[in-house]
Amino acid sequence: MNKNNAQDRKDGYFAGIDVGSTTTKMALLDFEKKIRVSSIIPTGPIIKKTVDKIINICFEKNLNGIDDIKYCVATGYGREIVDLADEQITEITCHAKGVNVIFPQAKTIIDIGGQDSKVISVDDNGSVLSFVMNDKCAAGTGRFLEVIARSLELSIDEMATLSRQSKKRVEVSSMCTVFAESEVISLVSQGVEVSDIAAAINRSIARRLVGLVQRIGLRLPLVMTGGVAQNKGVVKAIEDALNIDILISTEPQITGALGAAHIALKRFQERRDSIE
Amino acid sequence: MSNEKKIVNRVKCTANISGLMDNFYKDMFDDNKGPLCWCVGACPYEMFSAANVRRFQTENHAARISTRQEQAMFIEVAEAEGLSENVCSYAKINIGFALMMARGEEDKIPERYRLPKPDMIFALNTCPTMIQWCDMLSDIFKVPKFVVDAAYIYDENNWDRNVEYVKSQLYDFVRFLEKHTGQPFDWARLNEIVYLMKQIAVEWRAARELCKNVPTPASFLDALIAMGPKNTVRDEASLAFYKDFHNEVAQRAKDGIGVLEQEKYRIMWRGNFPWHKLGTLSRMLAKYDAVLISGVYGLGTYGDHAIDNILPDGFDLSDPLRTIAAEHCCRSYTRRFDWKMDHEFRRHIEEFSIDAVIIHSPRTCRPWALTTYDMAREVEEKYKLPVLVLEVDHTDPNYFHDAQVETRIKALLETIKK
Ligand SMILES: Nc1ncnc2c1ncn2[C@@H]1O[C@H](COP(=O)(O)OP(=O)(O)OP(=O)(O)O)[C@@H](O)[C@H]1O
Ligand code: SF4
Ligand SMILES: [Mg+2]
Repeated sequence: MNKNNAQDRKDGYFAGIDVGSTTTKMALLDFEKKIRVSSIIPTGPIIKKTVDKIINICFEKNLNGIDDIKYCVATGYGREIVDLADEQITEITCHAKGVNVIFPQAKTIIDIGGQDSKVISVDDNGSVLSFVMNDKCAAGTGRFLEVIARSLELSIDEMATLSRQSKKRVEVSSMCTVFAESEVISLVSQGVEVSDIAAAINRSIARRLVGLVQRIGLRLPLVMTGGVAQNKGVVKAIEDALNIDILISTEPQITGALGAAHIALKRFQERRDSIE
Repeated sequence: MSNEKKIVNRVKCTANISGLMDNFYKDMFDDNKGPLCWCVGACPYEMFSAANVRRFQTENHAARISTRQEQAMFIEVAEAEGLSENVCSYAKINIGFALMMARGEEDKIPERYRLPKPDMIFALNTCPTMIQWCDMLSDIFKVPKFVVDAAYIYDENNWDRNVEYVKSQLYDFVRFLEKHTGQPFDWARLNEIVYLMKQIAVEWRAARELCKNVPTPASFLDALIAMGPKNTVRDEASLAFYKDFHNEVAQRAKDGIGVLEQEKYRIMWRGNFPWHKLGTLSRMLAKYDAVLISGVYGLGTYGDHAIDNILPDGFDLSDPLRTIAAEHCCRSYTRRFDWKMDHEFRRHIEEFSIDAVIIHSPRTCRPWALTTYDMAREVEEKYKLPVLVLEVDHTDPNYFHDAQVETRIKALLETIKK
């Protein structure tokens, strides 16, 4: 691929590809920093195939060829497997950048994905000051919610909606996915309302996240990103636990890819400036 | 691109460690060298030599198994016996090992790790696990045990009282050794070994000091590999090794030879080390031009403490038991938070030009996991350095996921402004 052949320097795209444990996201920016196209697909077992697929999807949407990508930043767990990438950057830095573009005032970020939950503290430029993550454990992640939803025979959406109809407070004390699942099953067999169980699960996720937030120190405003930011039940539980309002963009799941695309644009400009 | 393999230029003489340690463990089978004691914790090994008792440190033995990633079988045996997954993984490796020996399943143990059964057990109580671990070994093998209680130094003004408290127990231990060997304790030999330790400490300290150079001539990982003889063997061959180690590091410093071709990030490590991931971590860091420079872990034993004013008494050859007792009072576990912040963090960060700190919070070790997040916050605030708290483990393979750890480390490096 020849990345320097564009006659018109205003022609071309900057790609951010976020290969997460659960979904792969791609965002393409133009020189005006406008999102030209974005996409989210499940991460398949063969990451290379997933990456090819998402690139094809994006380029079917009325763009010129893939050669017009001037710079590509890959992020997420599969970042090393993206051949197209000029650079790999962790999702921590990319989420911070993505949030900075949408909410420049943000100070703290909670990103809950499929396998990881992280809390990131940022400065006014969107640079990472520090971060904490759950370690090798699905507690407090999207995967945890999926396991529990499955044992309640609900979809994630149904569980989120139901949780907000809860009338009675019950507790799921275990944060471990495996133990929480068996607690849930025994609550169901005791005849506890599913809505109350769903609310308890959300509170248990919130507890876990509050612990991470406290480790890093809460600074407002706080923004939530990642797929689970679309789960209204979880968001509400975290808001209640921290007693704050959380900011969420219209497409929180794409934040990492968006940040990666913005970093790609910045890198391209830095490089061009240094050549000139 | 970041995918290319970066060369890690290790200190060459550390290649001799494996042979030195193999010989040390082979000696455990030599009955002419007296009865055998399994020691839990950092113990006063000098005293065993003076009593003609063979001894090795159970943690070191567990770490040895782990560096070749052969620990899982022993952990499983211990867990099947009822030890919970939260119990120290060193303890589980060693207890699993002991149970297999007691059950006559030695043939399942790889030959290089095999050991004779103990005649006695010793523990230094710096961590509650060690006491229970010592009890279990004593039960499994039906042999006597001796425990020395470490002094917790809450107040530096009570230094003398604390050292005397440990020293008085060491006296009792002399009696214990005499009783079980049927021989008088060799005080002259004790003096020789304490003097040897002083010489080792001088070489070690000088080599470590040279790591203040940029680029560093040796890494924390070189030091981790090299610390075995100092911490557990303690004989004349050990001294010869540290002279070589010091010479080689000095030559590298003089020639400007670094561990990495391009040293971009200098990292400090705090806490015990995931032995089973030594190579992985070394390569992972090198990939991003980062090197572990200094650290707070076993390096301190007869190292910094012993020469600095941190050990107020220095080496008092006229009172070797007091020197040993004082050395044991200098351990990180028995110190207050503010002492640790000053002696462990400030000194390393300022003197070794550190860019970021990794604090290991092991899943199965409470003493090293204690207050890690408070430490992180204080380092961030006071020194304005990025800190990563890595929750993995010293030997349990279940808690280390390469991709997750790499993401955390890379993210840490991305926050360094350079
Ligand atoms: N509309 C939605 N409502 C509720 N949850 C959702 C929604 N969409 C996605 N999720 C949850 O978000 C999770 C995936 O989020 P995301 O795409 O941010 O993860 P990822 O980046 O692949 O994972 P990681 O960052 O942990 O590697 C899934 O577990 C899914 O259950
Ligand atoms: S718990 Fe920690 S201090 Fe105690 S024996 Fe295990 S590793 Fe050592
Ligand atoms: Mg993600």
